[in-house]
Amino acid sequence: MSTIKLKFKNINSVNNKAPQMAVHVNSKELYKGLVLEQHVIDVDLQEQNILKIYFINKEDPDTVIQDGKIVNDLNFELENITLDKHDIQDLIWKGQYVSKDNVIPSCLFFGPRGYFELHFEYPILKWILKTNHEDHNDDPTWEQDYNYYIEACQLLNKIQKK
Amino acid sequence: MSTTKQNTEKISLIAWTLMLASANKQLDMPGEYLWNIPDANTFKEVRDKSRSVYSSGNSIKDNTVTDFIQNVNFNKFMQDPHISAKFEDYFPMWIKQCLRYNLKGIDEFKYVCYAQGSQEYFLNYYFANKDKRFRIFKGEYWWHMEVWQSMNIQWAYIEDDDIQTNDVVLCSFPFALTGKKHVGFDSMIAQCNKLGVEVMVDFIYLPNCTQDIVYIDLDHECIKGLSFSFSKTFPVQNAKVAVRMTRNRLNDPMQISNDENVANRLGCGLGLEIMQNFDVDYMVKKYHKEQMHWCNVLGLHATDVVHFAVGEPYTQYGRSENMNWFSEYNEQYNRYNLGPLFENKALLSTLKLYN
Repeated sequence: MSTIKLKFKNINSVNNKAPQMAVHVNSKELYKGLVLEQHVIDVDLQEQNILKIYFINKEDPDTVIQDGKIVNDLNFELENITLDKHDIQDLIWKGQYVSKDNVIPSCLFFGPRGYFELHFEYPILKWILKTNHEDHNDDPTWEQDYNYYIEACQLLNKIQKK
Repeated sequence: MSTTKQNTEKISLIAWTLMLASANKQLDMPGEYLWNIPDANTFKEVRDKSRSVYSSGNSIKDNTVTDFIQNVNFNKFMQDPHISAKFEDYFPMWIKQCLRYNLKGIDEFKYVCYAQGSQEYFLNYYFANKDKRFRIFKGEYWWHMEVWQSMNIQWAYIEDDDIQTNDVVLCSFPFALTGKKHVGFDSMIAQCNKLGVEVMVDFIYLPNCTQDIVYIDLDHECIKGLSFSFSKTFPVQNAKVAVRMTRNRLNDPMQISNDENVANRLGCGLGLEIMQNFDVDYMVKKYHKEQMHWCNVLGLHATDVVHFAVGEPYTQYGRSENMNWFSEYNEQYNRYNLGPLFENKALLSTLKLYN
């Protein structure tokens, strides 16, 4: 069992209506309800995974416009994703926001009705290291070091269990 | 010399395992410096610290000695105005007790002065010779060069220029980088004798020398001062316990402080307790077999210093990339400090990494 920790900020209500979301991983709904500052969700992950966070209760009247300017809006922002204790940091920008026919890359803002989508792999740490190296080409020993880390973890876990 | 192929994978795995165990508080003997203690069990922290597991020249943190130190009553030293004199009187006897040492001419170095770490002696040496050019072999203790550079003191590697009359020389014996006598030591001494250039010999690693006979001819007139430190032999490196022995009585800041009776009594007392309870070559007697064992297991080459081996770098980080640790002069590419392996024998045995 793995855990997904989601942090949100700037959660804005309109007329006592608070934003609500549904969290899906690999098409399985894991949470549905109010958007809070932090959610910790247990999940069974596969080698390839898709996280989707749906903004489920946004309606047109939730955007209040006066003199051509938005003065009030039901919205929120995704701030951070931690997968199995690994803060994915900048890899959060790998996500995209899908709204009707629009796909906005690297968007953490939940304004229009739609969903945030992130593809990631398990094991998380391996995916983080690999993806960072693919993006920046600055960590050629990532896989070797990852393997040492995992082997050391396994060795020490054995004596912890004794 | 070992002919076994170096087992870099095992060296690396042990480095990772020790640092992860440190983060998990599973080490038999925890580290004592921030640069080799991971702040947390995260990949990044463990990776960063695993790159320096075998770096440094630090002493073996032998548990018998660390347990002994735990029970030392430091308060009594504070009340003892004679403690530095006791320390200074005891040191030459203690160093001469080792039958393997043939330090020819050491009796001529009659003036013994407690130093708050070798660094205090070095600073006094720099000050006394501030108008001269300091000379050093490449691979010598980086701290010298770092200080000289930051203080605009003249210096040059011995390899880069002939020794001149206005030079002074510092040289560790055995040499800090290799754990063996520097190949240029004898010719350097001959040249200094010829030109009347002063030499300080730094014996920082002498107590951990493993040879059957440790011979050095100190009768050479150019050798004016000897530096000894406890910090690479006993786990007291943060207590700053060291000694200067000189042919002539000096009257520099270090000596003046000692004459004023304001020397660090805690350091003197701790050093005296160590000397009274442990042989100067205690670590050699206890760990020489362990050194041979690990060199065999890992395919490293034993040096003449019990806690050092040499081999190919197990990581390029800090060796050929991102050089060098803490200082641009800190060269230790192929030197391995085996102390962490000795100290964590029980853990490594349990994990089946010992053999």
